[in-house]
Amino acid sequence: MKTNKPANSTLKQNFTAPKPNGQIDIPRTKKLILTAMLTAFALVAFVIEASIPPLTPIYGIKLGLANVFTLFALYSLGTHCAAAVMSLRIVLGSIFTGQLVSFIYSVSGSLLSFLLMILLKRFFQLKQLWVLSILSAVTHNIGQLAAAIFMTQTPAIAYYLPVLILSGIIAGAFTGLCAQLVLIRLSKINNNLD
Amino acid sequence: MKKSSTSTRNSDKQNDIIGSDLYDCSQTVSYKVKNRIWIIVFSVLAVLCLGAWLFISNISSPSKIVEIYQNGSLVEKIDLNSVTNEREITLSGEHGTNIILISNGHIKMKSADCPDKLCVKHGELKNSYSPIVCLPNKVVIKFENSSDGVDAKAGAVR
Repeated sequence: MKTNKPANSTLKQNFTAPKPNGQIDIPRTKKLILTAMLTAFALVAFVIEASIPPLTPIYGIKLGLANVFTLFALYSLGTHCAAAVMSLRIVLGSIFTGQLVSFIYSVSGSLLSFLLMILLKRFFQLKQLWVLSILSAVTHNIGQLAAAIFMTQTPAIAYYLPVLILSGIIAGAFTGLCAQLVLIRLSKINNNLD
Repeated sequence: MKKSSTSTRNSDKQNDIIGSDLYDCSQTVSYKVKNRIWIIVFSVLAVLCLGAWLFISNISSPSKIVEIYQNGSLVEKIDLNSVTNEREITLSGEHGTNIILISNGHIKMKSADCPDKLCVKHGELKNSYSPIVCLPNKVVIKFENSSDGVDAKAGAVR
């Protein structure tokens, strides 16, 4: 009993003590499991969203629910895990939905937006996550548009740019607020559990 | 036992620090100000985009010569005013099949085997700034010499 108690407390401390920047300091195994779970959640969200018929007759406008989990991973687990969640989601998601063409657009947009996210993450705290989300959603749409122009060899599609920026702002605000509110509530729970 | 109690106290302290870091009143004020600035920035951008979209989509094309592209190369060039009776063009490529309906002054995508059918939902080709695009099958229908105008427009929007 005597040896058990301190070991238990250090274990608990290891699991729940977050760093001052809001990131939770967790052991590798738990990180791996959380990454895998977030990837699975993101995949489910992606597949469900892909099966809903598009609302507007413009290619590339969608909510991007799977991005909630990427943002969650970025702020709670770090850059590496977020990259894993996102790349796995794109590869597996395009296999599940069976659209190889959309895979190319998805990769180009995601790569650009993820680069922006890891570059700008240090400037945005948890309460400003939605700003980062909007910026990344807009760059995602711009990357997708650039890939579409390159693939179809028609610069005329650049006409869609204002609509894609607008949809990026709306969708980015939604997904960013989702991830932000969940993260703030989770950090409150973590504080109360100790 | 003594050691364990100090360690738990330490962790409590750490959590207090984090809690204050996240929910400190003086910091939330600056967050609120920053958030307000960002909200203004994004709403202005959204309004600008909406305006640009409405402006672009209201321009109608003066010429009625239509070009059909597949895989980036010109397949057919038709003057819509010289079309007398309705006819269909079937485009089949490595990616899928599209059926285009042409009548006097009008052109639209009748059917396509792409998954989302956005090109069919687009309806008739109205102006040079909104070409009918089927991304999965790589088919583009647009008015002739519209590329100059769109390039200039895209440069202005950027």
